[in-house]
Amino acid sequence: MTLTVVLALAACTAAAPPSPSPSPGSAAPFPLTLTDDEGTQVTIPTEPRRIVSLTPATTEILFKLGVGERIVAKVEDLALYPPEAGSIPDVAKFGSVDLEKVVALEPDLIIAGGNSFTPPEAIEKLRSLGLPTLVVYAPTVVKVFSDIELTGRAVGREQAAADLAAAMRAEFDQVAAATGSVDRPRVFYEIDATGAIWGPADESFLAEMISLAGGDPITTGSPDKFDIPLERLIQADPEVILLGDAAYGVTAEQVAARPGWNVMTAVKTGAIRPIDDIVVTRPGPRLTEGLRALLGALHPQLVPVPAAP
Amino acid sequence: MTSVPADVALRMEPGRRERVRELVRRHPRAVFGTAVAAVIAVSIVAVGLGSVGIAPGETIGIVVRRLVGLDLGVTWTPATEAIVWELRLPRVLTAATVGAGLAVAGATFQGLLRNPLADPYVLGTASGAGLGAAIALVLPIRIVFIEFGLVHAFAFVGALASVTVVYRLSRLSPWSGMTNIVLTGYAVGALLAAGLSMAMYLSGSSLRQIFAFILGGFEAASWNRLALAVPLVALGSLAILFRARALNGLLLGEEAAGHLGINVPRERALLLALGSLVTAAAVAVSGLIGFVGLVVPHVVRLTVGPNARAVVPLSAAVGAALLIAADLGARLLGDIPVGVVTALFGAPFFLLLLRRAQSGYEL
Amino acid sequence: MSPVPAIEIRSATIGYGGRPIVLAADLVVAEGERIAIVGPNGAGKSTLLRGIAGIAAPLQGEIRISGMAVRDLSREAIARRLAVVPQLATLPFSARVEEVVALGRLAHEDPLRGPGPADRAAVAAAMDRVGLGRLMGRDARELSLGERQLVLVAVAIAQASPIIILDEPTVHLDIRHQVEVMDLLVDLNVRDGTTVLAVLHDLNLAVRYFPRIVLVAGGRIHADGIPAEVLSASRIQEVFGVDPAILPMGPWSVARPAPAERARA
Repeated sequence: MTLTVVLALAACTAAAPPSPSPSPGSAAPFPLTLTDDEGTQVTIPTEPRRIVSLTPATTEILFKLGVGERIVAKVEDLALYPPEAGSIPDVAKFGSVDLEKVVALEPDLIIAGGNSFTPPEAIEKLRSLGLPTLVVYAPTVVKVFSDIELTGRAVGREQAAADLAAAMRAEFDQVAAATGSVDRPRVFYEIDATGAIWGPADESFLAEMISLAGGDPITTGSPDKFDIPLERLIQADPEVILLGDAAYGVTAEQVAARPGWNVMTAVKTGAIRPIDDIVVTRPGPRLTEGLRALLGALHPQLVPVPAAP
Repeated sequence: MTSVPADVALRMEPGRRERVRELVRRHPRAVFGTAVAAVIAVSIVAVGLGSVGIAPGETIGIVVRRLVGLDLGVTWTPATEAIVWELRLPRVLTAATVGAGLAVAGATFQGLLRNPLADPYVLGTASGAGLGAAIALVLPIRIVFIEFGLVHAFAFVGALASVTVVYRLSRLSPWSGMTNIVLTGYAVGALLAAGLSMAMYLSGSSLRQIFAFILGGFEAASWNRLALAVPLVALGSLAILFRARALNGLLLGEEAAGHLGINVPRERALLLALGSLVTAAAVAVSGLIGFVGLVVPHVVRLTVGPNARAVVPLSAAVGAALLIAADLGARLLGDIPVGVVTALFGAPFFLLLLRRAQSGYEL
Repeated sequence: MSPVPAIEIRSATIGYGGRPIVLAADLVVAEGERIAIVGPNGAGKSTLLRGIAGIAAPLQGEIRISGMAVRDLSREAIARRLAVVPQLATLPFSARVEEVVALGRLAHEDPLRGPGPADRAAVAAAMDRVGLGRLMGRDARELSLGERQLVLVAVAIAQASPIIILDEPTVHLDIRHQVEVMDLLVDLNVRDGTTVLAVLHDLNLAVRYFPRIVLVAGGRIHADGIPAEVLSASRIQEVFGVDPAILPMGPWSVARPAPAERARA
C-alpha cells in the first residue's frame, strides 16, 4: 500500500510545474551506485525511507537535510543533537552494533563510520545480508563537505546537501581570508589530561581546524601518536590553551594549578579558554559553529556578525 | 597420605551419590549421548533468544524450512529469517565448533604434556594468533584484509607458526618428558606477547579491534567461516580420538608408554600437530577464549575417568554446550566479551567441584 | 630348552647421545630363566635394561629379543614380547587402580575400539594374581608405595608378555612388600614360565630369590653365574668397595604365610 501512495505522489509531482531549484541534475535517479569513503561501490535501489545512522555526525546531517524523520535507528550519542533525535532508538554504541535490531528494522540504507568507528565485521555482515551500507570517514575538513554531499546523494537530497556544503565552504573561506595576515598564537588544544596529556596529532582534523581558525597548533609530533609529554608541551610554550575537556569539568584554575604548567605563557596570561569539543570535532553541519568558536577563542576581534543559519 | 583401611572400605555401604558416580563412570557412551542431547537443547535455546524477540514457532519454522525444505505453515518476515539464519545460527554453530575444539585441544595437551594445568594456548598459540591478527590489523591495507577475512588467516598462521618455532627450539629428546617444550612455549609466548603489545601501541585506531580479537567473540561468525573451521576442528578432533591409545599410554610416563607399545616420538609429534591445528582453527575464528580448554577436560575426567577414548568426545560435547551457553549469556548481558562470561561462571564452578570431589581431587 | 634365547646381547655398546655407558656387553638369557642384575650405582644397569627394551639403541653390537633384532621391531611388537616394570610412575590425573592396570593391554587391545572382553579378563586376572582385588575402584594415587609397586607389576602381568623386566622394584618397599614382590616373581617364573630379569640393589634379595646373577660394574658385565660364585666376598669387595660378611643361609627363620594364602580376591 505504501508503494501505491508513493507512485501516486510521484505521478502528482510529475504533473506539477517544475520545481524552482536551479541546478539541472537535481533529481537523483534511483537505483544509484555510489563510491563510499573506503572505495566500496554501494548500490542503493530506491530512495531510502528507513535509514540507520551509525555516526552522530550523520544523524545531524540527515536532520539538517530534512530527512530526520526517515531515521529508524541511530548510534548512541551522548552529546545528542538535534534534540528531536532523542526519540530515535539506539542500536549501536562506539565499537558495537546490535545487528539483530538493525536487521529487524528492515532498513534500506545504513550509514556507518569508517576507520573502525563502526566495527568492520558489522559492516561486512550487514552488506552480506544485502543491506546497502555506506561508510563515511572525514579525516580533513574538505572531506566533511564531500561527506555531506555524499550523504545527500544517498538519500535523494542532493541539492540541499550541495547548498549546505557550499554555505559551509563559503564560511570557511571567509574565515580563512580574515585570518590570512593575522598573528597566529601557539595553541594547545587539550583533549584530556587526567592521565597522559592527549592533544592533536600531526596532520589531524583538530590541527587543521585550529590552523583554519588562525592558530598555530601544538601537536604531538607524529600522526600516529595522540599523547604529548609534558616536557614537549612546556618547550612548545602555548600562548593559548583551549580546554576541549571543559565539558568534563576541567577549569582554567585547575589547569593553572597543575605542577609545571605555570611556566607556560598561556597560564601566565590566563589565556585558558573552555570550548565545546563536539562542534569543533564533529564532522557534520555544525562544523562552522566550531570554527567560529575557535575563532572567538583565538581572535575575538575577528568574529563576524553571526552568519545566517 | 591417608587411605581408607581395607576392612573399613568394605563395610561402607555405597551411598546414592557413589552409586550414581559408578553408573556414570561405567557407561561413558550414555554420558556422551546425554552431553550431545544437551548440546542440541542449548543450541535450540540459543537460536531462539537474542536482542530481538522472535516467536519460537517462527524460529523452528525457519530452521526446518531451510534445513529440510518443509513448510510448517508458519509465516515470518525476511528480516526475521535473516536474523535467525544469518545471524544467530552461524553464531551458535561457531560457538559449538570453537568450544568443542578448545576442549579437545586442552584434553590433548594435558595428556600429552602430562600436565593438568596445560591448556590449548600453552605452546604460545595464543600470543602467536594475537600477534598475527594484530599485524593484519595494523598494516595499511587492513581494510582489504578485514573484508576478505585475512585477519583470521593471519591469526591461524600465527598460531601454527609459534608452535612450530617452539617445537624446533625445544629440542626434545625422544623418551624424556616434555617440560622442556612447556618452558620454551612460555618463553616464546612471552616474546610474542611483547610483539603484540608493541603492535597495539603502534596501532592507533585499530587498537579496539585488536583488543576485541584478543578478548574473543563470535560477532564475525558466518557460514563461510564455518565452512572452513568445522572441517578443521572436526577432522582434527577425530584424528586425535583415533590416537586415544597413545594418550592413555602416556599416563604413566613417556618411557612407560614406550614399554607399553606406544611409539612415543611419533605419537607426540602427531598429537602436538593435531592439537595445535585444532587450536589454531578455533582461535582464528573467534579469538582467544580462555578457560574452556583448561577446565572442561578436568570436569569430564572427574565424571568418566582419564580414559582418552571417553575424555576426548565428551570434552568436545561439553565444550560445545558450555560455549554456546556462554555466548548466549554474553549476548543477553549486553554483548560483553564471551571470555569474560566463561571465566566469571566457570572459575567458581570449577573451584566448587574441586572442593566437593571426594578425597580431594588433586590436579 | 628352546633354541632361541629370550634375550641375546652380543658385544653391545649402549649409551646416549653418542656417549657410551655400557661397553661391549655379552649376555644370553634363555626362556624361563630368572636372573637378577646387580651392581653399584651408575654401573649401567638401567642403561642395559633400556637397551633390551629398545629405548636406547646400541651404538655397536646387537640386541635381540626372541631371535629378532630389537631395532627392527615396532614398539608394539616389543611390548608383546617384553614388559617393563619401572621403579615408580607418577600419574598426572587421578585414575582407578583397574584403569591403570588396563594400560598393560595397550599392545593387545583394538586401537580404535579399545579393550574387549579378553582384555578385561586379563586385567582382572592380573589384579587377582598380584592380590590387588581389594583395591579395585580405589584412586591409584592414594595407594601406599608398596601397593603402587604392586600395581605396576600387575600392569606388566596384564601385558601377558613372555619376558618381564623390572628396574629396581623394591627400592621404596618395606620388607613385607619386598617379599611379596619377590614371591610373585618366583611364582610367575615357575608357574607360567615367564622369563624374569630384575635389576636389584639389595644383594640379599638377589641371592635369595635368583638362581643366576649378573654383576655389572663400570659399564661392563663383570660376572655372570650362580650367586655363590658371582657374589663372592672378594668380588663384592672389588666391585662395591665394602668388606662383606657372608653368612650361610638356611631356611627362613621369619615365619611368613605361603603365597597361596595371601591372594585375596
